[in-house]
Amino acid sequence: MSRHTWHIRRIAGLLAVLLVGTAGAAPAQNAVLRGTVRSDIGELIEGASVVIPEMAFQTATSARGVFLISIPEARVRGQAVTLVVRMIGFRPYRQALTVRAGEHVFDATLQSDVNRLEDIVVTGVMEGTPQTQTTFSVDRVDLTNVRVPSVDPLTQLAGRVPGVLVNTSTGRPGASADIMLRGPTSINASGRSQEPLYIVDGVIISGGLPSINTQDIENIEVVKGAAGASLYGARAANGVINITTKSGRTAAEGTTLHMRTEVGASDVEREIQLARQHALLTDATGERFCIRDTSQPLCARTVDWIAETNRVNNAPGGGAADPETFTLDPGVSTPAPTLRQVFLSRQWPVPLYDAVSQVLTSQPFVSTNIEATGRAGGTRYFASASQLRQKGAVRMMSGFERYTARLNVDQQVRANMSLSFRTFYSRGNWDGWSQDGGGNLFFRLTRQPASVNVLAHDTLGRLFARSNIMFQGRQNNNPLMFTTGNGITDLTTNDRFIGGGTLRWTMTGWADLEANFSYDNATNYFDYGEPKGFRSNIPTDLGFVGRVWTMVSGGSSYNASVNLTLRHNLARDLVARWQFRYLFEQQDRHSRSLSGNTLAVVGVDAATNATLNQSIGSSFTSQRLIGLFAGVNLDFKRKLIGDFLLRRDGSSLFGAGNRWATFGRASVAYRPSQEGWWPLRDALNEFKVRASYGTAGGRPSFAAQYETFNIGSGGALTAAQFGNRFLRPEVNTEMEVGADLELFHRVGVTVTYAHSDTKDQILLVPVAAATGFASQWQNAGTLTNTTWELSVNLPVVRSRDFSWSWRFNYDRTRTVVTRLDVPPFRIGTPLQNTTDIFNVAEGERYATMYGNYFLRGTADCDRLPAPFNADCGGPGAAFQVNSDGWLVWTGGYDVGEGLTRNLWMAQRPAAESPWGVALNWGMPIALRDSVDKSYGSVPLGTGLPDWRFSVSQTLQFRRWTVYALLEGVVGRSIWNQGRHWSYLDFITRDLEQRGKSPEEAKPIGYYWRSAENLGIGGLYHNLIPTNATVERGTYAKLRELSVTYHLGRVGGAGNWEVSVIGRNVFTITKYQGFDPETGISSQNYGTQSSSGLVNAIDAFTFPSLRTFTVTLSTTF
Amino acid sequence: MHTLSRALSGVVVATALTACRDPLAVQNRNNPDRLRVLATATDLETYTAGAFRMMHQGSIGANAAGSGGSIASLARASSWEVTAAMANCGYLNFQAIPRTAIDNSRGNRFNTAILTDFARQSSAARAAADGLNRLTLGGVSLPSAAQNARLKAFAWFTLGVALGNLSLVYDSAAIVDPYADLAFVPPLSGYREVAAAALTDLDSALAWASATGTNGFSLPSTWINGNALTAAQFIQLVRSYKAHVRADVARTEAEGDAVDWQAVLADASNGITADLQITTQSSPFWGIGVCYWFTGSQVTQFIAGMADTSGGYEAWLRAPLGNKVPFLVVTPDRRFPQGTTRAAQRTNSPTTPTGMLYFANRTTGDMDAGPYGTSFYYWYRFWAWWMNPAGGPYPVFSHNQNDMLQAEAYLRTGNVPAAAALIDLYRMRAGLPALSGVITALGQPVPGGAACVPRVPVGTGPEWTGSTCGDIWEAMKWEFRMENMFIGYSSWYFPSRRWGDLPEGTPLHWPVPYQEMDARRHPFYNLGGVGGVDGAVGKGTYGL
Repeated sequence: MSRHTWHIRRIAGLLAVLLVGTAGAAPAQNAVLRGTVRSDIGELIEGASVVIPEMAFQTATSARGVFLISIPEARVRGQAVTLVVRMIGFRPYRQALTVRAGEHVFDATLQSDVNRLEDIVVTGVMEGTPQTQTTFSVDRVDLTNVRVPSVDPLTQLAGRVPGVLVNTSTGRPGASADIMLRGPTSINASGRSQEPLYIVDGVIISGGLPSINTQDIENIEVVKGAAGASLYGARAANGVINITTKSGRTAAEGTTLHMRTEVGASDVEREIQLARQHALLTDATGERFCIRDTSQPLCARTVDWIAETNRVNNAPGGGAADPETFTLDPGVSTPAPTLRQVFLSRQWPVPLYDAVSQVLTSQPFVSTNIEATGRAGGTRYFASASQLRQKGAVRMMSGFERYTARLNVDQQVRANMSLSFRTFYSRGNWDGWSQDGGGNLFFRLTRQPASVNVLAHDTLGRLFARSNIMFQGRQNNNPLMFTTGNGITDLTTNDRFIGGGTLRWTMTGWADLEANFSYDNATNYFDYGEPKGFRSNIPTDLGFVGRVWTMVSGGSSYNASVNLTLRHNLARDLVARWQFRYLFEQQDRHSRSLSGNTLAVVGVDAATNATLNQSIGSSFTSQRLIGLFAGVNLDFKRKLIGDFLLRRDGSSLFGAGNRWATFGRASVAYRPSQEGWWPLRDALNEFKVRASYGTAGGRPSFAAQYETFNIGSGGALTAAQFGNRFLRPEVNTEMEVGADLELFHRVGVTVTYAHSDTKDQILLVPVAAATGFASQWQNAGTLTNTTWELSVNLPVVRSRDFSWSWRFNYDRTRTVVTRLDVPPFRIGTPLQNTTDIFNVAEGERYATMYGNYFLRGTADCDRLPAPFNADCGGPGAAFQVNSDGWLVWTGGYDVGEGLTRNLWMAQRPAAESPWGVALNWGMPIALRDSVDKSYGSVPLGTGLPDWRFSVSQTLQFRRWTVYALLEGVVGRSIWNQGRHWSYLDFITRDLEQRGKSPEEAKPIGYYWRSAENLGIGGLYHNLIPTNATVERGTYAKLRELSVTYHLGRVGGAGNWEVSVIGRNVFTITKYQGFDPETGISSQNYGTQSSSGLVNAIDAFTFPSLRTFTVTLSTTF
Repeated sequence: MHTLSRALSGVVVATALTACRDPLAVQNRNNPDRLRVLATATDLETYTAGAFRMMHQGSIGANAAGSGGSIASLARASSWEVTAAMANCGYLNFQAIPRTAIDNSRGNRFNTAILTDFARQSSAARAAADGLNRLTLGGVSLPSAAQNARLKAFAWFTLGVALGNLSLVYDSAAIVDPYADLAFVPPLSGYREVAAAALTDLDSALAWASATGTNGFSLPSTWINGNALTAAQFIQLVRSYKAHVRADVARTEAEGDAVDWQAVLADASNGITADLQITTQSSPFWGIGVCYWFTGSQVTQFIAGMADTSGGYEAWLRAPLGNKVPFLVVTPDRRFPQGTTRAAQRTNSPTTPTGMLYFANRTTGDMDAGPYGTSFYYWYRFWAWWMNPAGGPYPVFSHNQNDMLQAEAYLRTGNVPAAAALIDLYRMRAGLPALSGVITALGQPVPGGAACVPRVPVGTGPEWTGSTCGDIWEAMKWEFRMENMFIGYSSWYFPSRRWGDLPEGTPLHWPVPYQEMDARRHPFYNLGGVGGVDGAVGKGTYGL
């Protein structure tokens, strides 16, 4: 050691002594341990934990990597102890020492822990355990220095942990992401959830998580299946996500302030292509549009588009006037034969607009966060406050605003006793809940032809109510009509308080007692209002008379537990840890709603102002759970670990005869690389194999066990649901095996295989109508998940000035209904024509979407009935494949001769056609049943993906750091209902024919209503999934990108960083909707799968937001 | 060790304390169970009397405005009562010619519609039977014998109507028996057996309706909303329903011929003398699920043309399928807008329905509802009610329906003058010449010469040879159609089966919904379609 270095160390040590105030200057008879902690590439490490476990001493390194421990004279007895230095991302440093008076210097160099196997995890295990000692997979995501913090903590997991499925089903600001671990465990999860059990600082959360400030989070641990989650018993079948927020546990004396502000803008990355042409009939000038009147000569009357739009919208009073009906308005007024002759190819004689770009616009994103971390004597604390404003991307909407505050305190009461308190409050508010999905904002947005200016106002200054005056646009108001900027109230407010206290008492050197109480309260307020005088597009609609609707809902959760841990050496090198736990949980939920319309006076929001259709509702539910738990962990030389537990749970959600259930786990891990005989010490320096078998439970919704009658308006009673006092929990049994490897001290690999059966599925089964009831919840099936997960960590280059690391994740889950004790059935969502789209049958993949099928390619010749199948295929055949790939009837002509030979009007009589149904030339042919000629229903794809991957990399060069995360989903099928709908209204660019060759051009009837008698036909067919609109939703998304420059001290103060951040930067996909990351979640609709990950239906939800920001942060 | 013992003791004590009272027993405070519903005699009366409203919602009180429609919507489209340019309410599918089978496969598009009526009618039957069971076997008694009798009469009536409706719509259903064990799930029976049970139940209603005493009849007006029926009026209503079920359960012309028309006549001639109108309201909900929208629903040219005296109908009938375009119906029938030009008829179609004017000539553009469906006309007799579908009286069983059942019975039993007198009640009100004294036998053309109404197609479609004046039989059907369009429970569909007026392949009834068959672990099936099971056989009366 040079003298210069010695001086630096002395100075650093002196600083450390000054910082650690309680230690003060060490008297000569005390033992003083000091030192400096560096990484293996020579960087000083701040915040490393320095512990003497035998003496319960703990401190942390300063910003210069210095630590100091002063041991009072009374405890200096020359005893042998171990100094342990830990830091996330590094292997622990252990130094045996003898405690003697005087100063001792211990400098530590921490080696990189590529696979993070030395990280301490607390989820699913009896107490904090390094990953090397766990017997099942526990994924841990450290968010202390997250580069791209998300608004919703759950989306922070996207792409970071294999087997964690995250889907931003709606991009509406303030909405939660859908999440599943490995796969769904319930076939019918209506009224409950497929989501894991959430725990925040020991508090079992009863509602969603978006109210939590992501930047408060220190780490998130994920236990994905019953093999690891058995500890949590009857509610852990979906796995567990355990969030630990930041604390001052390792803080040095004093206070450290951290501030961060982020400013930018959000928009929607992708567009949908709206048609720029029209098919309406015009006069000879092409400037005026013919009005349809079948009793008048064709085009006897004409209108000017703009003048007609003004006339309709300038109508006084509550509604817009009825527009004229245009000749050849294909939506409703044109016979099918005509539609087989007309092409969408005429230029609009008016200025063109793009409604998507008019409505979707860049809006601000602002996030500010301030934290204080520190210690004052035995009190350690973390406090934070934040403000977030995410306006979204829709013009005239307010978006999401959230304020949070947190105070976490750890108090050392005595040397062997500590108290921890965690308190958190947030308030969030957002608009647009009632516009998310169905026939609302995005439905209307996709119904605006290029001639429509949705931003136009009438002569009274009112937004055009009926921006699209074509007849099919009647039900499709201006998309901006129902936005808050247009006078609508559509506001949701959420108040959230989470708090808890934990007492830890080390009673003896071998016994710890922990007691915990926690409380979670959430209240949601929803207010919807159309003011009196609000304008509708329908003259007779009641909308303009005003309406009010207000709801209050929420709930409280109480948890209390007592936990006893005993440690005991059964034999030399065999350590046993016993744990016993008792816990009680209660969740109370409530809701109240009032609504009505036809307001008495202007400017009053109170429900009493509604004079008609008043409606009231309320509910209250309470759930209780008692858990008793016992377990033992056996550790032999840290290389052979066994873990066994048993949990007995009682839940109020089950019938009286089945309230108690038993769950358990048996698991083992072995680290042959720790054996002396291990021959691959350099090549495979860490090798752990693990196997775990465990069970956990799934619970029904509150009402499932009860016989129920519905109380309708005026007290009318209707039998609803048969009770079932024998209802049992769904039992998820999982076998998980895996291996954690480190190769050449460099490459970390984790591979896991899991197989789970969730038996006794709780299903809603119809009962005979003569019972008076509609259904009954019964245990009647098994859902099986088979999962492979792989993650690879690869630090390519690692040096002080330059480092480059990769992480690669892969997972694949197959979810199959392996047993069904009831007849097959359908599930779906409440949205129009989606109620029955997923088939549930034994042996079938879960989330398999069914619908009608158009014959496609020559391979489908065989699906034509004989003898037609023999005249099918190549040139000259009666059935050929067209330029889009569909198999069509051509009568032997070439498939491209429709225009040149004027064949589009040709028909093949029913008696001469397959299935006895007349065929139109060149039109797609829907497959029919050979017996009753119905369209039947065939599988078209699966809502759950085939496999997923993610790649992240971090590149650091001196002060620059670049980070990127790419996530991919492969093989998910999505019903693009928006595109399907738009075939009906001729709004999609698919229909445009201008610029196409005569061989490829298709008439409107090809897309909509080609059939003569039925009135439907073409690719629109019926509004149910078909293979024309069920699309592959495969995508790769650059989800996160950041470029950071570390400024360091500025003006002698702070530790500054500036970053440019992108979220959802771009998406590579062939999917034709806004965003393949879509679905119908249960946030707005009570879906049966209860997850947007399953409900792969693109039905006018908000697409996810792309956000670019600049961030400035510093620490004082 | 001492502290450890104390801690363990605490856990044990806490466990013991919670064990004293089962903390896991939680009551459902939101939805009652049967015990709470039937806890008192008053509640029993409320619940049992509420079964009629449930039955009403299982027939025409369901919300049918959704795209899935209801049986009423599907049956209307199947029997020419409505056509539409859009697929909403199932209209496009069920008005299509050639007719296709009812798809009863799992998850089919109309499964909610097919299930809803079945489930609600069955539930109403069950609720009425539950009440009867408790009143008869359960030892629950209302304050007076007359009050008991009134509730029993009403419960038997509800049970009879619910089973009757099931027999009219479905090929089979379960016969709920009040005297059976509550846990017993009756098997499915064919529609004839179900109809027979319904008639028996209605007879029981008649038997109990005669009791008198304190708190007996009249019915509380909330039981059939807005109808405080006296015992005599109640008996008239029961007899009208008996005539309706007995006649309308027939699926084919042969079954129509086999109906006991003397019995129908006996009931109908003692039936209602005024429309049964239910006062619709939102709370408690007594709505009507008429799937109708101003611009979308149309009156098919095929039926409206029967009133035409201009020759337009003749030309329309003769035209090839692709050339069947709408035409102006010029008619003396005052239920149509008058005038020989479209402008004149539009002028004659006021924005508010008045008096005898049942149709309007469209003021906005014409929509394509297919070659059979497209016309200039929509039906707006109850337009004001549609604009406020939960406010005001709405006829669910018309006096005309009862009269035409009676008239049909007269015609079938050879009493043409009596039938003519009944038909004339409506015909003459519409400005059409009387039949009485002119028509003395079946087969004679109605008076009016070239301006006769109705005209009926000659030959077979889609290119008929022309049209001719209908006879008294057709006049009876015409009056029934005009006066019962868009009221009642799919009014046109049921008699059209026995009249042979349904196009070939039109399903004669609906299959038991697959959900019910699943619940019973039985295979499910489709019905109808050209050449399919239980579809209308061959070309119907009108050549389709």
